[in-house]
Amino acid sequence: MSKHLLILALCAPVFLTACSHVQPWEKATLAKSTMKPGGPVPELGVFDQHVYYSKEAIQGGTGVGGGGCGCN
Amino acid sequence: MKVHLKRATQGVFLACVLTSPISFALEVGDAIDTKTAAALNLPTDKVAVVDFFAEWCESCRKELPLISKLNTRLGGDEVEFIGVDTDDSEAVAIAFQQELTSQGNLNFNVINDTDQSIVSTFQPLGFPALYIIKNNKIVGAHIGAVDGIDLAIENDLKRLMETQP
Repeated sequence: MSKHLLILALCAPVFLTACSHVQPWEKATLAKSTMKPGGPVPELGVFDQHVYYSKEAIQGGTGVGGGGCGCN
Repeated sequence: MKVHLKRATQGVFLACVLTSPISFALEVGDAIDTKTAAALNLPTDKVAVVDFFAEWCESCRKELPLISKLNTRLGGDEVEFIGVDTDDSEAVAIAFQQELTSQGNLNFNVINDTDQSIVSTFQPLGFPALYIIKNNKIVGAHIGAVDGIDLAIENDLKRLMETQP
């Protein structure tokens, strides 16, 4: 019994990684400027990134690689 | 009780596998099914270069002029260039294509894949996605943004002509 539960518990995270998987060709909405931290105003995004960098000591990872394509 | 739990585990495992987001991307060496080949209008007597692009994809905007120039040089009896616009809005797709055409950056036939059925068959792992197809079989692919995509395609075509004349 515990063996089966263990197998199930180990395998479940592999397959249940997300509720929905956005494919590379479905990133039109994600590529919009309004989806970026500053929205349509890039200056606000820079300011927001500066605050984030100062607080977390990390940067990047807020955009979609390759200009929204998810290609790189 | 033990048997029921075993069966339940197997059932849940199977359900997880069937509903998992694992993709089955077409790769080099894979064949194109007849339905997709018909949708793409793939030529049977020459090599097809199929480029998937979209209006929102910045890398596509950089690559399309290079591919169009290559089409001017190589497109014809041996090679056919086919574009697939994956925008889900036909109006956006047509406006984008008209913009590119007016700038001289798009000079090959484009199929509007508004229901994204063709691109869903290929399931590229990145965008833009470009496939070289011969006899309904993928013989080359460039997934994601590629610097100098025109040179990369030309090299692929040269190699293809040498190995499979």
